[in-house]
Amino acid sequence: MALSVLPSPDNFVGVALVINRSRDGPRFVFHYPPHVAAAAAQSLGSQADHGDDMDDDDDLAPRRNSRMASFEGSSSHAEHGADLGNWNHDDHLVTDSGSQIVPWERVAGFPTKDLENILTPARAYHKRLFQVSLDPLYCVSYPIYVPENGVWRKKKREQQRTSGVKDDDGSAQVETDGAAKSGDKGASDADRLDRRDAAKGAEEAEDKKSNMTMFNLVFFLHPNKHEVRDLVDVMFVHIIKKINKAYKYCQQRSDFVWKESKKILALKDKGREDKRKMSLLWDEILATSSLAASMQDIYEAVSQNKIAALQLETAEGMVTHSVQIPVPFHVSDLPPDPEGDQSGLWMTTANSFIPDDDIEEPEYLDKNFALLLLADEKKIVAELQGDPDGATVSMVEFVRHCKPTLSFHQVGQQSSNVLTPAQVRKYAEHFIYWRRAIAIPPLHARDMYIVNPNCDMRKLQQASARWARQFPLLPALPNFLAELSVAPRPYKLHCPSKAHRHVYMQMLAWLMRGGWVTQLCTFAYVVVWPEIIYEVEYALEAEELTSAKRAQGVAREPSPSDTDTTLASPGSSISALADTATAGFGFLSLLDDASNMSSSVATLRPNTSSDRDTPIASPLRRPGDSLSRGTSHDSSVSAASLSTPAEQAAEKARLERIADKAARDLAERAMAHARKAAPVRTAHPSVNSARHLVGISPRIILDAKKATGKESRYLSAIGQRLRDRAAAAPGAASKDAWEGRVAETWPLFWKYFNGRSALERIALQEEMKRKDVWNLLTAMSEFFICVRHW
Amino acid sequence: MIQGIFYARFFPRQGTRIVAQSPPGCIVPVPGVDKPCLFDFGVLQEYIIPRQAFRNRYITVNEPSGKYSVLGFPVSINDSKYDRNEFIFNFGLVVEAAAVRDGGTDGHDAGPGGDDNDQVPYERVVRRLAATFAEMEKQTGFLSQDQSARPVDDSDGSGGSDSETQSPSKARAAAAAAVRNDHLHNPVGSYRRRPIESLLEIIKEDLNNYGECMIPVDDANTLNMKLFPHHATPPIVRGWHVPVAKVKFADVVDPTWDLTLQRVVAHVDGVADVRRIAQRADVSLDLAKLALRHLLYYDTVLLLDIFLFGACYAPRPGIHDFVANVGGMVDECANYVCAGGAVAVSAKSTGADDGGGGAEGSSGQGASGNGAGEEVLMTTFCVGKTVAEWLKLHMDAGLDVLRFVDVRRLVQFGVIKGCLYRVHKHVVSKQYLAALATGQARPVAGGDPLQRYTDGCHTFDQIMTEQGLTDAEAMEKLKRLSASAGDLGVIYK
Amino acid sequence: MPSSTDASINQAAAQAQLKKVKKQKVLLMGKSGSGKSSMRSIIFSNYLARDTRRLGATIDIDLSHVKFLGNLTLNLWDCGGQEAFMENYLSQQRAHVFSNVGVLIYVFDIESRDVERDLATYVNIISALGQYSREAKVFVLIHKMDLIQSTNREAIFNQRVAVVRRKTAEAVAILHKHQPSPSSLSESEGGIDLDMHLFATSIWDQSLYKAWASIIHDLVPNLGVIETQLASLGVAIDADEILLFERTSFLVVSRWSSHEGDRNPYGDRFERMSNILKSWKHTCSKFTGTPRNAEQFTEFEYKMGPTFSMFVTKFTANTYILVAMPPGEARFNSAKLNVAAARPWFKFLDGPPVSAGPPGQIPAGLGGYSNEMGGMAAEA
Repeated sequence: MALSVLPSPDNFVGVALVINRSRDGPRFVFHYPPHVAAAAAQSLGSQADHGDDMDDDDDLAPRRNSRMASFEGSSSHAEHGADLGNWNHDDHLVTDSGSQIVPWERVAGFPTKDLENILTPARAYHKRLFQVSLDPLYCVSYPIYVPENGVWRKKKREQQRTSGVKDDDGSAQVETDGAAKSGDKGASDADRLDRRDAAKGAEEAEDKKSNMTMFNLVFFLHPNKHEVRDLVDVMFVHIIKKINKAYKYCQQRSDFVWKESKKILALKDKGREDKRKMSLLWDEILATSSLAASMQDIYEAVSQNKIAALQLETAEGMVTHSVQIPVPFHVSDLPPDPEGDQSGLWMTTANSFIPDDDIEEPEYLDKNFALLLLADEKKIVAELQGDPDGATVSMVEFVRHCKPTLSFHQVGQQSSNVLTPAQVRKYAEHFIYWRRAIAIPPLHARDMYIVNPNCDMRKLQQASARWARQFPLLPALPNFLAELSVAPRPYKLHCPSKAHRHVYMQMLAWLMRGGWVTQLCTFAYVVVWPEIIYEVEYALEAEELTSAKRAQGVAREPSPSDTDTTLASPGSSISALADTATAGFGFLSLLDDASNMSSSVATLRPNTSSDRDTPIASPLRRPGDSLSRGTSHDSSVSAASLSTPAEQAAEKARLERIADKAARDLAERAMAHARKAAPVRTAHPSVNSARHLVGISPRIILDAKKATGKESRYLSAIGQRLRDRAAAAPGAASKDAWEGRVAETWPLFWKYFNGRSALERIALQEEMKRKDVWNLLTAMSEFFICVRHW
Repeated sequence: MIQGIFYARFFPRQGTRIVAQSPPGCIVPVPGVDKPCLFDFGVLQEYIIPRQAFRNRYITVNEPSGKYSVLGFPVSINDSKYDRNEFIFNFGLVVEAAAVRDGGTDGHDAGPGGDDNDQVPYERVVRRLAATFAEMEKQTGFLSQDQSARPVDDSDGSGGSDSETQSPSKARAAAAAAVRNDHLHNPVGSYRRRPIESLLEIIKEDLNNYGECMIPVDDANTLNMKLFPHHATPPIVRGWHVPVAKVKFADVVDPTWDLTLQRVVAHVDGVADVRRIAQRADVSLDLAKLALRHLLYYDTVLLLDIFLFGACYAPRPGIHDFVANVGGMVDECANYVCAGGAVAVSAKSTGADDGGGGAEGSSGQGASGNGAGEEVLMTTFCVGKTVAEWLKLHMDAGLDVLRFVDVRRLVQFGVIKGCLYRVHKHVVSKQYLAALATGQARPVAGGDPLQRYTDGCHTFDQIMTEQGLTDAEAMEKLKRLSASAGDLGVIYK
Repeated sequence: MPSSTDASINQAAAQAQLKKVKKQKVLLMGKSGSGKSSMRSIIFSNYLARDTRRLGATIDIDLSHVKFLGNLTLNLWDCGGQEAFMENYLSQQRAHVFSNVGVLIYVFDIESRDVERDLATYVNIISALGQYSREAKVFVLIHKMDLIQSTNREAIFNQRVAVVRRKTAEAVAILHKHQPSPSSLSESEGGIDLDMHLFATSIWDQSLYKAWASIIHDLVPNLGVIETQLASLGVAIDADEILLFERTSFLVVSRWSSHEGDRNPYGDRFERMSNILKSWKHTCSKFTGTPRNAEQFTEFEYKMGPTFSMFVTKFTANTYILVAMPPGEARFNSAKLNVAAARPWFKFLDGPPVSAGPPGQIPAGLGGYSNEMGGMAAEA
């Protein structure tokens, strides 16, 4: 889930609220930060975008550096240039024409007067993506319109009116219950309401009229050219939509957006008249309006890609809402750009390598992951108790029990089952989503940890300082990392004594949090040595021959009942050929029907059974008709239609000819087979270099769990080897028993030999002793190859 | 793909109107075309001819349904000679919008530039159209004098005041005619001007079909436009990078190329680092870097690290694709790395890789090396093991690696394919670090030239190339540099 | 001194019923190029008539929020007149544009070639207006009259007036049919016959000021108060005539004339004054090099020897006041002093009244001056 682009102060330059009203038209209510720099028209030509010196020839001469809001319109552009040059954008200016330049009436280099017009799009954009770009500046939003009936309010008046009546500023009261009335009249259309209200006192009409027809929280983005889409996406889906919805909710409940806007606009008008410094005015607005404040929070948080927590003081009390762009806390591979946003992220394949079929069964996750809190436990507990709700108690419980060394599964048990697995899962997700924790494979002293190849060395300064404060008297961070990185060893070996074990695990957790280290895991594939391959092929051939013999035996006296099968064999050969290709058994050039029938037998057999001389007859029939239904069918038809004796004779003769040929071939192949060297089982197939094995090269089974056909035969052959060892084991009963265990663990373990599941985690999965697992693996290590990475 | 192209104009009487469009009826309906328009012109007109403040700049807007974006560059030419003192027009394109993938928190994996419908290349076109026609208007009043220029949807001879009086039907007929005989791109000059409607059609067709167009507008002016793909910013080229060519430069390079570029390219051999290339090519290092960055931008080279037997490489998750021989990677590798007469390797590997047979029959000859060919070689790299050590390991195991494979190529192949990564060596001095943290030490405070490398942010490769030292020498100097014994640490990452 | 006392009384009464800030939506419509923006910029942003030639066409709607006096804000919707826009107002933006309208100012270009078309659009506008804001006032300006030679202006104007009235009537009638207005408001208001006024205007003479003065005249809140207080002031300083101008536009907000004043033959003297003072301002700015919008002068005296004397002076923050009176130094001076003293009365012009200060006090002060004056007279 690595995001390609994230907002930053460079590409997210500001946020602004624009509303529209039928009486005074569009209004640019508020923007943050106070000074949204004008995006230089061609700024993308710079470092930001390589080879982007476009339209140097196409540039149009008149790039006016200032367009003033004032209805001199086009006539008076030139005249301001001068004084704008050295303008602090905080004081008000007066142009030669006497018109006043108000610092907050220019945003991103445009007069708000003009912006407010293009940023109030038609109703067609209601709750849709609205995106307009002005040179490199993108204005992206999710406009919200008043319902067609012109009434924002949701029903449930009564309590509404009471809440509204507390009289903050004279008009607000009127407004509230004015609107409330309109609310009662559910679907009464707007202008009739207007008129009714007009009937009662101008005052009320005044505010009733001022109905806001739409509001639009606009985000100003300045993405790199090739990142436009991704940035807009991320922002729209996670931030823009959600916040506008939150505002809409408040607007519907308590006319929030309009009331706040009114407040802000009033302040700005006043500020305009007494030529207030912008900085001062902005402070005042932010202090007085929770809407403005929320815009500030949004910008400050989102541009740093933190969690933005809105607190909206509506007439109905505080409404809180948090939004964020969920960030990945890990990557599965080295990011292309070592200095990019992803630099410093912890690397693991633990999440990306979860086998698909396990994703559903949560136990898998429960056993393979532990929760690593990113902040101090006490702090988090405090946060939780900060605003308590139903879940608080059990969540605190959960936090207390969570240890980076315990899998969720274990946490569940440790908490003496106060917490259900479901709860554990839910809370874990909650903490992870809100960036209070990350999920990691449980830490273990026996595992190996290496310096995270993706760690951000630029952070080393501060980190080592913090480390020194956290773990005085212990090796300094640089040295410790150096030590870890020289050569991978089990973590415990770095720990001087048992006494230190605890603190060393804390150090490890610390390093994990900072993405300084990552676990070095081992992944394995089964290797099939030539000896095994040969053995299996040899056996297969033998089976084919025997089966074929039987088939012929039957064929000698054909009875109508099983014409099917007999006829099947020749018929099948064709289709079976194709089949061999697809099923892909390339051992011998299989040009004979019988052989490939039985090879298809192999295909069809469940890959588990390990005994090698299996009853052929039953499976034989299956491939027969499964493969050659077509032939068998029309043959039976023909049998029915054959009438004259002559024809019958001819038919019989034909069948015999076929049978004879088959017999001859079979004989030849039997000879060939007999001539082959019989497979010899050595103790260590990997080093068996007998003559007949030359040229057969070992092969790798990518996923032993999914192995079918021949592969499954290989696996069972290996299993057999291990059993043989057990048998062959000289005397010592214990060893014998041991080898026995190895043998029977083989089929249990091989599902992990897929190059995807870390052998280190088998213990967790099978709930076995780590040491034990390790020994077992070592014992069967001859039959797989390993690769190590995070 | 350009879905529609239009010429909009602001008329002092009628206001914002479409004068020409292609295909007909794509923006505003025209008699005889019942295909629905791409979007509601009424909704978007304020972005097509916007108010003063937004003119003479590149503007794009997505239409409500989110299916299309309109790209335009509204131009206004101020001159008292015009009615209402200005002439305002816009040549715009309609292209598919980059649809927002809604809902899913993830699904953003699509890296930058992963856009099939990338709008960036069209910006140039729009700007060019604006600039060209603005210029032509300024010089000859090309647009304002155009008698046929009148709103396509202008049914009756309404507001038909001043210069704008002529029956639309006639105009359209003219345009159509022109379109017809334009299909055979005869370089005009034959007739003095080409109706804009037909111009638009050709532009659209050519850009959509050939990605470029070269259209004579009148005897004096020609529109040359090309769609250039826009790539992400390439990474910075460092002195210690080793560029590897992805194309045979010998074949593509031609004398028109930038001279520096030509000289640099000549020395890109997959072994030499940038610094050395610069020296050999006798160009300044910065120029060399610039040139290479250029090649990077067009994805014709890639950057690797300096290969040393003393260096250490380790597998990445990508290695699994290798083992699974995704896209015949193993075979490719075999061909790339096989040294001398080791065809064997390739044969062997083909046998070894397939998860279930295949050309195994063809296998047979070849060194009876144990282990499954490249896979084993690749997978046995490991953190904390130098190439030399790795090599020894296999030699001891009786596999004479050097006989079969060119180790450098093997490693580079692994790195390129994302199977391996270089484990870099960083040196850190506690004291220096602390000094930096407290802001005391300034990098290169007249102190030892090596000191600035000891903040952990610099790789040994850098030290070696910049200081012209060998690994050992560098280590020596560094040791001497640090005061206390335990001060220096070497981090491999 | 009866004058001052009853002044204080009706003043007190007046102050009592002061209104708070008032906002008005003013639509400025008419065919493209009929001169809407020009007149707007002349009236509200100190353009010279000739400057307006430089204006470009208005795109869509150009909105301005004009603060007029302290307590009236005009939301001026200058609607571009191009057909495309008109269509848009009448369809897409219909509700948005036409609801909550206080005043519609519709401008006809007298020399338009296609009168029929103009009228058609006008009718559509009127019916839209009727649909969304019935209480709106309508001012129709027949503009660019300067292009007609003065002799037959009258005639042409009247004939236009007739046509427009007829069309309006028709429009209203249609509206009636199409809208039996369910909420039966029309009945209560006794049907809809828009109250409309027509003016012949030109940016080149004072006619523009006349029209606009009457337009804003009805919008200004607390008009009653202003008039009564002006009256009492006028009586107190026995002036012949008093004009109250808005600061930037120099439109006549209110006026008072003595019986003497009423006998003045020149009916258009008020708008003339506006025009004159405005151009006086421009001349000032030209020669002093001060901004056009800045206050060019604080006081302007004119003494026509034996005939009369007058002065224009900065009055409240948003107003200038002009006082014309019979000649005489003493009277002149005391009048100025009294005007100054009267300022507090009119504070409410500068914004919503805090709480009208204790009445009675002010007239007392005023009385003081008049006594003095009387005294001086005695001495003479």
